[in-house]
Amino acid sequence: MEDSFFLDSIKPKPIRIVNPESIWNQQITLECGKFYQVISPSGSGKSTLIGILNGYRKDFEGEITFNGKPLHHAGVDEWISVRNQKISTVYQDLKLFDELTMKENIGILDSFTPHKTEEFPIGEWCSKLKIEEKMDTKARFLSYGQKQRVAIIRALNRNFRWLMLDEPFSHLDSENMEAARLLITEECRRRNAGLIITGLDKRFVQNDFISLII
Amino acid sequence: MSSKRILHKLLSKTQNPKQLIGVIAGTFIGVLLLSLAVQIYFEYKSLFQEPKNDFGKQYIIINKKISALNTLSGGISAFSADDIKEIKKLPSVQNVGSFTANRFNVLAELSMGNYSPGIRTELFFEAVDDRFIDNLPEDWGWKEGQESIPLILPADFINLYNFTFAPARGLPLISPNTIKMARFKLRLTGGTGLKEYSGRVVGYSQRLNSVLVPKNFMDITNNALSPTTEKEKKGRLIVEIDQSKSGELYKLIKEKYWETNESRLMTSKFAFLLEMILVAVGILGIVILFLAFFSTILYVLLSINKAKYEIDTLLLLGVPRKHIINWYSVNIGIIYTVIIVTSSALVWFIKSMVADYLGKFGFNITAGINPLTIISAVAALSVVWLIQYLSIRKLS
Repeated sequence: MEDSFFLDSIKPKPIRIVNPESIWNQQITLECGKFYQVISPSGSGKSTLIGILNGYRKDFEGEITFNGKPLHHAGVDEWISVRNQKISTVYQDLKLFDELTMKENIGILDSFTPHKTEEFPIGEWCSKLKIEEKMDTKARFLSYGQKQRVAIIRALNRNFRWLMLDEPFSHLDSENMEAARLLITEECRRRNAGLIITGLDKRFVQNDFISLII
Repeated sequence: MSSKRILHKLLSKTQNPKQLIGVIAGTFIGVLLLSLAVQIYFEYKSLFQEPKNDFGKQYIIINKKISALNTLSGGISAFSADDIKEIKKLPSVQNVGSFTANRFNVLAELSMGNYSPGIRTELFFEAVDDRFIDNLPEDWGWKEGQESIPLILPADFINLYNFTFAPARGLPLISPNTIKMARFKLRLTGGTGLKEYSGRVVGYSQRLNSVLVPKNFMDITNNALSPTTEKEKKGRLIVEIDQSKSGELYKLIKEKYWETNESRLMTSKFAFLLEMILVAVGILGIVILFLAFFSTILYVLLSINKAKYEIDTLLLLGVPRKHIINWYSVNIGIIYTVIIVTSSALVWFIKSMVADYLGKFGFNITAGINPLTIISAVAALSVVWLIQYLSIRKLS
């Protein structure tokens, strides 16, 4: 299937596999358009999985194939082009620029690529996540919960076939968490994109999500 | 917001102004030394060196030693035809010429207006084939019946006058060009009569230490004023040799107990020393530039390292690498351009100061900066910039 990942016996080098049900060392297809939740105790390699799927973690054994093309030995530039065109990610450490305002952080790609932020309903997303009044505030003056919402909106503000979020709701209250979850699933459905979320609270585990156990 | 402004916001806070100033100062000093060495080298070439077509050639003036015997006999020891043949045989020798001296008396008068007694002095002339004269002036030459005689003075004359004679007598300093404007009255007397001419200085010779007149004028006037049946005596010879193979000639001179213009050789030794000093300054400039270049690279790598989070994040978000590489390269390029402009301006300023000062002593230094000075600075920094560009490119 188009834009799907195929993991063939992937095994991160630093991790000892204890759970026999884990996705490590198995053959797994991650289909574009489907939603996945990564379930595991912390420290068992959730972020490693996001890193491997994003191409910046290379310390693993096995083969990773995207859209039918093996990527394990792909060069940096090839990975960058896959990442730029197909994948949008909210990293665990958010990777916002403290010195830039929320607006500048969200629209960062406008300055460097042909991307146009005005083609996306940023204002609507911001009001859904209740941070529209922070637009001109520098990121370093935002709370961690606010930063998480900015990072989510920045991730939505681009074309993607996969949206990956690494513990995106850790500092959100339940109301904001629900709003963010709704926005994310809505956007992925609208774009027919795949979704991978780690660190979902057990209370919020959704039935329409496929569980990836680590 | 432009990409440059964003990068400036993100990356400039990782710069250390003190280190940056140190790196810029080092590069500036390196470029300045290199520029000065190149500029002085060209000034010195145009001031002291022989014209370009003489490159690699050397002119040596030889005479036989004057001993007590000569004093008694009253005659000079002339070179025989065999001597000249022997010199010509040497492979390094390209041409041999002889000096012709005047056989008449010369009295030169320079009038200084109606109320001043003017200057009057006895002079002596020499003539030599034109091919041995350096910086041959355009208005050199004489035709029979011509009233005005062109003269070439040794360049050292002016210096002797300006540095010793004039200060001692309280006379004004004169520049080479001032003397060219003066007209001398020349009174030539010999056994058969008297002739009067007007003389004017048309040029200066670095090579020949004589008051030179055109050869045909000398021959005709010698015959007219004191005819002789004796064969012309060749007391002094001028030898054109290949500079790189001058050793054989010096060997012959030593064997025969002849004398050469050692002072000229001293000048060329001095010139060689000066050249070595300039080369040393130039090399020092390049070494400093080299060190500055390494500290610039280290500085850039350090600031790239300090901005690792920003750069990695930009790359992860999909910002093309070229923007980051260009930000560093363009900024280094701007700094280098400013360095070249300021160091060239400083060289120009130093040069005009020195030119003013030396101008008082009759040295004619043209204004402006030699294009090769700027070209060498641009070339050096371009190479440095390119290597830096490549090393940044590899890293990020």
